[in-house]
Amino acid sequence: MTIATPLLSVADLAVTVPGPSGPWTAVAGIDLALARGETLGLIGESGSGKTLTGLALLGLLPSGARVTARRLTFDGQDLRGGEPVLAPLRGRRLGMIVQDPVGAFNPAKRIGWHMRAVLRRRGDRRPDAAACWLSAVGVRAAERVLAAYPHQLSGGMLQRVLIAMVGALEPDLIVADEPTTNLDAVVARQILDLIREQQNRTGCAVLFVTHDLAAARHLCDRVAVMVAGTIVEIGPASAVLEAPRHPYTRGLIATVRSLAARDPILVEMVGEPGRRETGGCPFLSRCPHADPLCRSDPPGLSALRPDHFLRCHHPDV
Amino acid sequence: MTAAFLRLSGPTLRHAGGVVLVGLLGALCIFAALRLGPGDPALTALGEGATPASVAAYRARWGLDQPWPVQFAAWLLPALHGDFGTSIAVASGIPVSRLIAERLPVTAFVGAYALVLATATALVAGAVAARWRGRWPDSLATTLAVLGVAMPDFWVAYLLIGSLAFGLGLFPSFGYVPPSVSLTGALSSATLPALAIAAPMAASFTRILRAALLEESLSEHVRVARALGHPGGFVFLHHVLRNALIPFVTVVGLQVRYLLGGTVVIERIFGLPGLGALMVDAAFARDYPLVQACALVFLIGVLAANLATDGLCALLDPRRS
Repeated sequence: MTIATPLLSVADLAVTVPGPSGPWTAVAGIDLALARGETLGLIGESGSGKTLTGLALLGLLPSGARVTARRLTFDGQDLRGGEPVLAPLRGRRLGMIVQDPVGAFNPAKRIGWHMRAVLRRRGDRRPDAAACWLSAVGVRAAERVLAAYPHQLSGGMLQRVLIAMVGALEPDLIVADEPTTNLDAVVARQILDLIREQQNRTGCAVLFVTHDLAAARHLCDRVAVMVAGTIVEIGPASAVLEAPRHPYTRGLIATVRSLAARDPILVEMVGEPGRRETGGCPFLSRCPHADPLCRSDPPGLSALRPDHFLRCHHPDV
Repeated sequence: MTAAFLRLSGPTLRHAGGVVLVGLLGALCIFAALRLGPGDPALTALGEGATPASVAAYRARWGLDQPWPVQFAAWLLPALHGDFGTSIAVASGIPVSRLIAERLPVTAFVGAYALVLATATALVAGAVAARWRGRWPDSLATTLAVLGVAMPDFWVAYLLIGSLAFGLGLFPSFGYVPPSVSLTGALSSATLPALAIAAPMAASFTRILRAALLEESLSEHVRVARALGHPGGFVFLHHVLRNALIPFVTVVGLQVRYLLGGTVVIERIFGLPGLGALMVDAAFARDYPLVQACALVFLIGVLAANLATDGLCALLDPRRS
């Protein structure tokens, strides 16, 4: 990749998680780089390992999961050192926004308690600090929200509060794990705009994990497409989403377009999202163009252009 | 504070109405169970060789010749004002309320002592087991908990007497000193009975707290708290332990009835002049008014504990309002 001294640099990241029949590698061969202020979309269907990848970067995987990487550096620090390295970074330089804002708050504590705990950590002891940070994310009745328990607020409101808390910490990298999936379209757009505002204010990088292609196009500079635990295509958002090259990306975009256009015959992708297969292409079982080479040799990530990479033996089919 | 009180009072008051109903039904059950059970107070008091005339005189004297509904009303209506009649066998002629007033504080003291011991032990052992899950402190706490659950309280009682009373001479094995006479003496004399009652309870509390802590530690708000940079101790205290207390308190509240059941046996073993021991004596003597009153007091104790548990849970969990 062409970015000079990236903020985050990942080479050959793999995540092994415990499964019913022993540990299995859910994510493998992830190569990523993220510059300051940049937004990288991590696109893929459920089970493709995009959330695990995001959690691995923060060291927040469930217990039993193991992370390995050839390189895993954040601003020069080797994150492979685990908790001793990651714990001081979290909440200071690394932040996270989650898919389920309702579950993100302790149901037994008021919003004000959550805000104050974060602001104390940041050293902000102004009496109106919490209200200030809430108004920055467009919450008007700040006092009412601060006095409420999480179950008394909507998902969109809670997501704003979470963004306010993460924003107050001013991290350099935010992992946003499907932050709009549980919200309706209007609120989702507002939340995306808030994330962008946050980015404009602090110049932070965002790893935007999503399966929403429109949201990715709206927010991201670059996108990476994941299939079965590995990245199959990565490049500028405009190139990948408007002129996709990988059969999976093409299928995904054709399906979305056919849904949007209300085509009488839905363009569907065949097959089910599956596990990583040993040997061969990760998209093998679902690819219309698979041949013996795809079966025997896993394709490497090769450059189509200096900034657009593809993991496919047949880029021109 | 006002808000907390309102939150507490709404569902609790509604619940209180139910409690009164359950109490009345319970009183009916107690009354009926005694009369449906085997044995006759007159024959028990006068002996098998009593003449029909003396039996009839005894029955007439204590109102046992009246129809059941009349007997029930004659018992319950004064009982609502605290008058439980007089003992007819165990302490013939002495007001039941006086006997209970003498005995109840002993049971309440030992029971509360046991509950404090069990809860405190479980809080420490459960938290240690969950914090070091899968490591030796967890194995130790879990093994002890399995042992504690498997051991009946009367067996623990003899084990404690053998070791701590006769072996080391740390605590008396028999008798009771009221706290009004000497607080240290009371604590010393109640330690072994309280331990015997507390051991099985502490074991099951520990298992429940450990499971609740482990479940809570998997929740999303714990992950988010860590992502926000809160230190491990803060997350454990305010996110994991705080929320695991809700199921824990519920279970502790439900266990109070086993605690009261435990006192019946344990008071006999340790020679405590408590309500449990009194009730056993009264049951053997077919002393209807006394058994009824003791059972009713136990019932009220259980209902009060449930009510208190509900109130505590409503305070701990704002979603329950």
